[in-house]
Amino acid sequence: MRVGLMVPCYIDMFYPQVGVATLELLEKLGVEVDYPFDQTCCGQPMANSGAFTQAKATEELLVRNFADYEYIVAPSGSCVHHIRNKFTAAKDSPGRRHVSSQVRDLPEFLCDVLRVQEFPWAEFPHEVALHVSCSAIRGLCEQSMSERPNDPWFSKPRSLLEKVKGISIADFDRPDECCGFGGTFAVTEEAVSAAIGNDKLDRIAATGARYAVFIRLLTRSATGERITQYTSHFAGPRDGAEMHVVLVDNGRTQRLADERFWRSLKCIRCAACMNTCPVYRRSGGLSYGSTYMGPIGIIMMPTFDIQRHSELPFASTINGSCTNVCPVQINIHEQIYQWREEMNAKGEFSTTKKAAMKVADKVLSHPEAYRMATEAGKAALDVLPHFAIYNRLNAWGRHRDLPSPGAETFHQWYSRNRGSTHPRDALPRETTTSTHGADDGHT
Amino acid sequence: MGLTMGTREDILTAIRERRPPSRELPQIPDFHHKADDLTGLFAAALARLDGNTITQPPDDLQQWLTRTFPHAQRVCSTVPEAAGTINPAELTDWAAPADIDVTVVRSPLGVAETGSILVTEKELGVNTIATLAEHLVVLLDPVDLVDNIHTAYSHPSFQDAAYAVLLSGPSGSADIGGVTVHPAQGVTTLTVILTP
Repeated sequence: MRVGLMVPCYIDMFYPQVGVATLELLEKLGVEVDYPFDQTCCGQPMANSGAFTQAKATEELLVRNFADYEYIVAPSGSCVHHIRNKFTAAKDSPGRRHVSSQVRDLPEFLCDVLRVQEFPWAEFPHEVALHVSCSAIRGLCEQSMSERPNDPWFSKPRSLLEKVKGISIADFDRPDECCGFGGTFAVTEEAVSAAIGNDKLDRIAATGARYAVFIRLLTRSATGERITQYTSHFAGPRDGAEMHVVLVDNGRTQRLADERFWRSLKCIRCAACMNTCPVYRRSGGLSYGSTYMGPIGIIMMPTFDIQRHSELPFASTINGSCTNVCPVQINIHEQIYQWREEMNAKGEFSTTKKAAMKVADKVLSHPEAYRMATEAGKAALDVLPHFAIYNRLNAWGRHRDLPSPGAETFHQWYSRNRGSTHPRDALPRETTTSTHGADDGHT
Repeated sequence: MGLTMGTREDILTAIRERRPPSRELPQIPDFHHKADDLTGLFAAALARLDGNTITQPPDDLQQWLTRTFPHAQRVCSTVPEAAGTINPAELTDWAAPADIDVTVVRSPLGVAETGSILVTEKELGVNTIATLAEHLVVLLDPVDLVDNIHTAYSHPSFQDAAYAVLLSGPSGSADIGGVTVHPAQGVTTLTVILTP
């Protein structure tokens, strides 16, 4: 089996040892591994920022690099999630579809493809805490999710670790909590609880038996109670009086016409998405600067005023737990992702962000430029922080420093240890005549 | 768009034109549970919300009120079992009940699942007597207990009401401006006396 190793840009630069370990582990398990030299990045930094146009060339470069491999393996849940589920900036082609269907996160490849039963050589007599990323959990289903407690429990990464002699895996609270950058939010306001009152129930257009379904969903999804203290119902005026119902549109009929976003109108205001959101739970409602807070606010507010709320869709780690807990099944995190694209399309990016996306597009879609940027050590930081920061943190994460880059990139390590410019030159293999896609290194 | 009758039609027309294609509504499952002990379930649910249930009704409600609320000056009773100091028929607007100490009312419907009691404009007259009072005493016939919200909503006393409120325990606490306020709104105690 011939496998293409994809070493994501952040691992190439900041954690090259992860790339090395992945390569050595796969080889130890008897896999023939190629490392296509022209690879750069999966395009996620731009696509995640809503800059789909700028992600196109980088995604297409990845397709060229990996289209001919039986499997593409990467030690990164989020890159694999992007390539498998979000790879829409690149032009549709058999190559793109092949890459999306054949890409595997390392634990998936070990569990599902190789079906590894043991690591007889491995020993690690330590206690470890395991954090599985949201992309791996909710994007790739490598582990069951805590917000769906009735699903059978499983964890591919944990089952692999448990095969290592001497290891013990520590249990801790909320083990699949998003790692979320929560600690770095520059928010000092005391969190204000999102007590969504029962007066909002008049928004539910339902009667009789259906009405009861929503009433029972409401508080169960909000505070876990069966009901709140007051549940008022207005069906008509008292004797001798009048009752008036005021319709407020406020952009809602416009949203109703939009196939991507109309489902947010199904909201029953229960606050389940806020209670599960790692960003909201730490930053509180005030930091959203909008009437509707948390995940639902992110997809609700831009319809009212796109300019004022242009930054909101970036106040999310897109970990996806909001969608899982939503009792009326609004695809919240998908819509957040689509709003990012909308912000770009509507020209709501700031000038610096536009410039950063442009640079990222240029650097990440050209292997030579990418090598120059990443292998210049410190010089890399002149270019990279911009797209790294605009990747997910944006204004919410200005106070976080990037880690220092490694002494050498994975790419440099590979060249030094495995020979010249091409893996086939470096490794004595019998199958060197087989052809690959764009596997020619720059010579 | 101005504030005209046309605005309403504009909104409704936009909804009709843009709404997603309609589809079959799902069947609502039968959530009815066969419960032998509705009284026990009701009392347990209400206790979770800090409310009291009295299953052995006092012989003399008037005496019980005096004993339980010795400092109450203004008692508003809508039931023949007890005479209050305030005649509810004389209350004219929603703010009038502001200084009531105790309100006594009979509920036509209790919900075992949630520990809720239903009151409507028929029992209350001025709706705020149930929420502005300091203490609320509710008389409920055990035969008027239903198992859950679904059965409650199909009950005539709910269906026929213009205003209906499910009261579930005394008012809870709230975080208002960084200060825990208790009770946030409404009554500080809620007692349900199960009596025919």
